[in-house]
Amino acid sequence: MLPDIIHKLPRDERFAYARLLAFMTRVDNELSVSEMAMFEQRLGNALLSPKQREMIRLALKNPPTLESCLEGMGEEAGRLALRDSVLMAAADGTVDEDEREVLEEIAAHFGLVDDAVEQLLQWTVEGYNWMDSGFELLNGLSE
Amino acid sequence: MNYLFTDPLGDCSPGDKRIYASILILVASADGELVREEFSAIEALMGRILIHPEARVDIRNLVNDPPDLDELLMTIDSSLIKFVLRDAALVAAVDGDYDAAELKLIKRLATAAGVKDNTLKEIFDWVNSGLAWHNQSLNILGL
Repeated sequence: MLPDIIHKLPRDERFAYARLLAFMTRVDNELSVSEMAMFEQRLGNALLSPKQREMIRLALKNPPTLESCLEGMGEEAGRLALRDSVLMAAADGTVDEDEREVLEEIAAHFGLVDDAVEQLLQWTVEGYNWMDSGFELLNGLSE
Repeated sequence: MNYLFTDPLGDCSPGDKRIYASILILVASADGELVREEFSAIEALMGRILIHPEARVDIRNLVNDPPDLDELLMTIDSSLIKFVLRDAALVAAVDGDYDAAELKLIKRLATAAGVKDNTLKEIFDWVNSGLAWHNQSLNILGL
């Protein structure tokens, strides 16, 4: 919902990005409403065509393998997908061990620094605090 | 437990979700054009509250036939107007600047929500801190 660069990537890269997010939703074998909301938010940001969105939603039922997602994926799309995978993994309030392992694998694949996932998790917490301060501001209006 | 990035808007009626998104379209196109950044932000916000894909098609078409703000405000649940105001401020900011026509509509929303000028400034400040937060991710990713 904030200005991003994902919509500027070529269409096939945006599709690859979304496919990786679809894979990520199923890592812990659960798809909570929070994760779904984050997933749909990111699909919206990516400005996929309706047909591509339909294909991606089908991928939620039959998730691709991580290897097939990463194969041939561009570096920019991959790094953005890692960031948004962190957001999605954290959307239900916890990042479990399986999710963390996959995130580290993606980070290593795209040659990021060793603590990149940790930095992104910290960034995600800061984002939560930012959202929370927005809620507080609005809630204060009805007091 | 608090969950990341969920929102009370996610639980409102399909009708209110439609009005919410319609107002965002109205604000974003107030300056005569809906740029890709704004479109991406609106698509993300529609995804975030899980508006049905078919309903999104109708909402997108409103760009060509914008609804009347006063009529929308009369029909939406009044407790949601402050959230519409918050997200309108977000959408209007994503192309880098608040246009005069966008600001005029935002101020009408603020009036409808009972938000005074000093609080509106706090909302704009909140938006700016969100933009700064989001940009940090690109530094982490080396993009």
